[in-house]
Amino acid sequence: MNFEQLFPVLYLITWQHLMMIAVGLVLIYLAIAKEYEPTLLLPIGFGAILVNIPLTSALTQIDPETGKALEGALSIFYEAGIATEIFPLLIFIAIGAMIDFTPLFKNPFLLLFGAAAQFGIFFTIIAATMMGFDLKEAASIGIIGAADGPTSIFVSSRFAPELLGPISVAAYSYMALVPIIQPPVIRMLTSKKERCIHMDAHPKVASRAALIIFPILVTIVAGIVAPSSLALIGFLMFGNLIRECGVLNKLSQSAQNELASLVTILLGITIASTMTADKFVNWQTLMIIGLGLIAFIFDTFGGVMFAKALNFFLPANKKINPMVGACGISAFPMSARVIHNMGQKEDPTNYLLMHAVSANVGGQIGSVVAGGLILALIPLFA
Amino acid sequence: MNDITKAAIEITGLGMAGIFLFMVIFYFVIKVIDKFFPAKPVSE
Repeated sequence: MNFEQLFPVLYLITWQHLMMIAVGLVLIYLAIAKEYEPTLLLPIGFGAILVNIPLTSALTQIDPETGKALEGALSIFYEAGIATEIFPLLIFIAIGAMIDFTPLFKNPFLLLFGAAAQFGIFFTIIAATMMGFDLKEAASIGIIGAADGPTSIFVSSRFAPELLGPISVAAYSYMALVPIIQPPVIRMLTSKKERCIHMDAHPKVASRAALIIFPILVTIVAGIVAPSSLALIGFLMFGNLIRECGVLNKLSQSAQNELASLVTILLGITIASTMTADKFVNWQTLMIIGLGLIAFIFDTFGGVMFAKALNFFLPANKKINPMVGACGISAFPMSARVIHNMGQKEDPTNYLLMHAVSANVGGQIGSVVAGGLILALIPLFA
Repeated sequence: MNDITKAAIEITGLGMAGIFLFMVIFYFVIKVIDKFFPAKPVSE
């Protein structure tokens, strides 16, 4: 038996494999040292190492002697959890159980920013088609702008599963980078005077009945308007109903903690199964990372410009601070915190947090609606 | 401009209109729920 037979991996490993192992290490570093979305980036980073060692038994391999497939655990997880869309949908139940819709009842008008700040998704779809991606790939890349990992995974696993790895990495990385991405874009689009606009407080609260009825009605309405969005919106609202009904506290806690943790571990490491060197080390990946950034920038642009446009029609005492528009993305509560802090820096007496949280919750709904609409629209054109 | 980009622009128009439509509907859903199930005033 010679050295090659003893250590075949050393003969099979390429610079692309080594590069992917380095990418895995960088993701683990970012997760631990910088705390950038560690719950996802750490499993993805470790998984990237796991699947880029040649002959890894974590992925399905063909036995050269018998020609039979030797099933790998991550390949099985992929087929069972991502290809079937079960993992992202379970995460939606967990997210639904974490969302408190009370801020929307305080000022439902701010829901509209959850629509405007999805502009980056569509702008990026157009940009991606100009760069040579087909419509399904472009839609999967654009959905990075949903600033919502599970929605990105759900859409891309249906339309472009081969791009799932870079799309997931971009989506989660940029979500973690919201405090760095949004402020310069906002400053560029607004004047100091606009950033200092004070908004009226709405001390209202929502009744328990209202909070219970809301997820049920939203599901029914979404089903009537766009049935293809129901899996996304329905699972989110189901999780929220568990939270608000008041009789399933144990299930609500389980969904928010155990379910979220378990599925996140599986989701992260399974996404990494798509990050093999042959699929990841190419120009497409770099383009996707760049387009993801464009999506986040134009989300912020859409929200801020919509607020500025509304201010043309609103009376002087009802003007909206355009920074609040930028909170229409789904990155909750990070975006709301960023905007509140920006407002405080401009004017320490300006408390934007409540309005920012309302717009941010609107963004959580808006991103899921955007995902559902893309799932409905793309097949009509592709 | 190729056909795919034209389709993407059309999807952008329909998509943004669709999201706003959804949000306007949800806005009225909240208003209706709030009207029929108002929050009890918090006592001082």
